This record gives sequence, structure tokens and C-alpha cells, in this order.
Amino acid sequence: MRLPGLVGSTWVLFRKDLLVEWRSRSRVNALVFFSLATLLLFSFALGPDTALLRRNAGGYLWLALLLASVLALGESFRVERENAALEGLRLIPVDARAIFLSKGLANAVLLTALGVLLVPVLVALFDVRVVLSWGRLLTLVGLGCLAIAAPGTLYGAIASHARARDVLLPLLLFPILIPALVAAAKGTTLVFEGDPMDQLPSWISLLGSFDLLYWGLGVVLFPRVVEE
Amino acid sequence: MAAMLQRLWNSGPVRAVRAFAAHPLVQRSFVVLTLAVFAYAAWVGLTQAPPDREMGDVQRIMYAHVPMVQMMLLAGTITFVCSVLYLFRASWKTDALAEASAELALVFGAIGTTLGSIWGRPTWGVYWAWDPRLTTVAILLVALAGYLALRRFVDDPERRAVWAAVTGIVIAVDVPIIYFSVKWWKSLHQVQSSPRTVDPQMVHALRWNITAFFLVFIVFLVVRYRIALAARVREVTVPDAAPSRTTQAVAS
Amino acid sequence: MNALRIVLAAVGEGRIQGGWEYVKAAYAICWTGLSLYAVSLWVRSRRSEAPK
Repeated sequence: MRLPGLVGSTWVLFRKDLLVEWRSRSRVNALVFFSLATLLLFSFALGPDTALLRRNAGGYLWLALLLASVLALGESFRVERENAALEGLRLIPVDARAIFLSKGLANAVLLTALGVLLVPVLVALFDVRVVLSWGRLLTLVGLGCLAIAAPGTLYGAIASHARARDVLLPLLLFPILIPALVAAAKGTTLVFEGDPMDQLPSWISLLGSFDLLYWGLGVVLFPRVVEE
Repeated sequence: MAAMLQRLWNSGPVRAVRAFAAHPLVQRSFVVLTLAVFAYAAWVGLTQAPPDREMGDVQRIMYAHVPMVQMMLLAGTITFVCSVLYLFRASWKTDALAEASAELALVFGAIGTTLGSIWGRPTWGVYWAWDPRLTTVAILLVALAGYLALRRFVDDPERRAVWAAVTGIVIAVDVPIIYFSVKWWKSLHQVQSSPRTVDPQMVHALRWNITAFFLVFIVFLVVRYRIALAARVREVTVPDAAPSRTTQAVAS
Repeated sequence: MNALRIVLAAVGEGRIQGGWEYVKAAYAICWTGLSLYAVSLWVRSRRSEAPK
């Protein structure tokens, strides 16, 4: 039997991860409700000035996604640890890069879906309107979630084997993600408020460069992280 | 390349210098020299250098703030280089140096930033400004704290070394990105008080202070490195076992 | 000429008067911080040498 190449392995593992998520829908549901709760908390902590909430809605969306991502990433690796599944994969042998790519992509897809789901909530809670095109919004959400997923998967693998893993993952991840957070939040605000000075392309390119860099770095470094 | 450096390190004259540097009397004298230079530099900065035309005597904080931040950058660079080096050639010494340097970067950076904040109050009117340099340093300090936390929370020495190296590289790569993103984020630029044409007496004072703080940095680095290396030796059950990728002995 | 002299006299008058409290606070923090760290290094160094 010929072993699948990198792309083949990635695809198989990607489907596996999505299937695992689908089969444990309760976990995904919990994630959705957690994000909703977070957005509610923001509106209570920072409201009730509706104009202020509307202006900052882009920021709130990304904060909620960031907090949810920590849970999602933690779960993603807990699944692997539970039955020594990751070690099993490595023994087949599966290219570690395929594990990184598939897990990262699965996490990114999950977070993007979450982000898209939250937009109507923003419209309802914060009186937001999508002034620019939905296509651009989707691009932003997608790129931003890819940005979270790459270092998130890398650090998720590390943190899952360390003590105090629930604290360690956000502590490691958040400083690294600040540029992506800034770009995504600013871009989203522009999509909601309008972009008279055409700043959106620069934010999108910053996000895109961040993604390229961190996915590249992740592919190179992840094998070292999981090797014995 | 590595073999050539190894040969150089073990050559006659270099060995003589190393033996000299390892002598306890020499090391103690170095510490005394450091203290002396530090005291002299402080005296020069506080009394001999002239007050600034606009800022007055408050400007003297620069003689402590600038060297501290420069040492933070130096320490950060050392950690980054050691992180990369470790992934190519695993060695407990490289790992120990990375750990020592990271801690120094955090200490010097935290104190240096505090000094800058105090300097900012009378000169800019605020303790903090979201300008690119300041914000990048703040993020870097948090990232370093995360790096040190990672080291504390991983028990297996080999994995700790690899993961710390990976984290170190990610942090270092992120710093320029953070800087540029904050630059774009801040629509207005705060005026930074960097000396344009600096009075030669100020340059003199600054040079002495940079030298002084550099010597302090070296002393701290050597001590901290030894502590880290000793900890590795204790952890690894067989004293001269090395990380599996190399045949180097720990004590050589 | 008198006007020029007045203007020239004003140069450097943006000087912050005194400000030594800031300098003292800064240097105190710097020296205290470094000393505390040095002490912590010394204690840890002793502790790491002790069992041998």
C-alpha cells in the first residue's frame, strides 16, 4: 500500500478532525454559547451607549473569537491526548507537517464558522450594519481565523503536554496574536462603519502576510514540537 | 563550520584566555571592576553631564534608561540565536544560555520600561503612550514572561529545551510584525525624545553608562547561566548524558 | 537688536525646573531593582551549589 503524500495525509486528517468535531456536536454547541455569553458580557460591561458599542463591535467580535479559540484549541488537543491518539498517528508514520496542516485548518474552519455565526448576533446586539461587502467580511474572518489557528495549533501541541495548560496556552498565544488582532479588528470595524480612506486593503495584506509567515513557520517547527 | 569553531575554541591561546577567565580571583576582580565602573558612570551621569536645554535635569534618567533597554535587546537577541542554534545542534549549554538570557531580558526590560515611564511623566506629560516602540516592548515583556512560564511548566528537560527554542523563535519573529502593526494602528505619532545632535559631554556620560550596564549584564548573565547549567546537570540522571541529538558532554 | 536679545534669552526657557524627584525615583528604582535581582541570583547560586 502506497502511503499518501503530504496533501493526501492532510486531507484525510482534516476530514478526521472535522468528523470528530461533528460527532461531538455538544462541544461545538458549548463553544457557540460561550461566544454568545462573551458578547453579552461585553455589552453589559461597556454599554448601554449604543453608539459606542456599534463603533467597537469589530473589536468585540475578535475578542470573543480569541477567547473561544483558546477553548477550541485546548479541546482539539485534549482529544489527541485522551487515547494517545497523536502518538498513534506518528507511529503509522504520518508526516508531522500533515498533522499541523490538518489540525490547523480544522481549527480555522471551526473558528470561521463561529465568526460567521456571530455576525447576526452583532447586528442584533450592537446595531451593527455590514456597510461594505459580505465577501470582504468573510475574507477578513477567514484570514483572521487562519491567523489564530497557526500559532494556536503550534502552541496547543506544546501546552497540552505541560502543566497548567489552560493558563499556558493563552499566555503564550495572546502576545503573538496582537498584530493579527489589530488588523482583524480594525478591518472588521471598517467593514461595519465604512472605509472612506480605503485602509482595508492594507489591513488585509497585513493579515495575509501574518498568515503566510505563521503557517510557514508552523510547518517547519511543528515536527520538532511533536517528535520524541 | 562547527568543527572549525570547535578547533578554535580548543586552540592554545584561546584555552589560555579561558583558563585566565575561569580563575576565581580574576572573576572576583571583574565583579569589583564592574561595581567601580558602575559607580563612576553614575557619578558622571548625575553630576558631570550638563542638564538638557529643554528637559533640564530630568534628562539624566536617559543614562539609566537607554542602557537598560539596550541590554534587554541584547539579551533578547542572545535568546533568539540560542533558540535557533539549539534546533540545529542540541546542547544543554545552548539551552541554559537561552534561559539565562531570557530572564535577563525580562528583568532589564521591565526596569528599563519603568524608567522610561518615569521619564515620560515630566517630559511627555503621561506615564504611558501607545507609540510603536513602547507598545512593542510591552508586548515583548509579556511574551518573555510566557516563555519563562513555559520553561517552568514543562518537566522533561529535552522537551522543555525544544519547546522553549520553538517559542523563542516565534517570539523573535513576531517582534518586527508587532512593531509595524502598531505603527499603522497609531494614527498619530507621539513625539519621541531622542537626542538630535547630542552634546559631547552627554555622549561621554552615555558611553560610560552603557559600558557600566554592559558589564553588569555580563556578570548577571554568567551567574544565571551557571545556575541554569547546574540545574540541567541535576535533572539529567547520567551526568554526562546529552540531549539525544549530540554526543557533547555537559561538563567539558 | 533689543527684540533679538529678548528672543534669544527665551531659548532654553522651556527647561523643566528641577525635576530631581523624578531622577531620584528613577535611579532608586534602577539600583534597587538590579540589587534585588543580584541578591536573588546570589541566593539561587548558593542553593544550586549546596548539594554537591
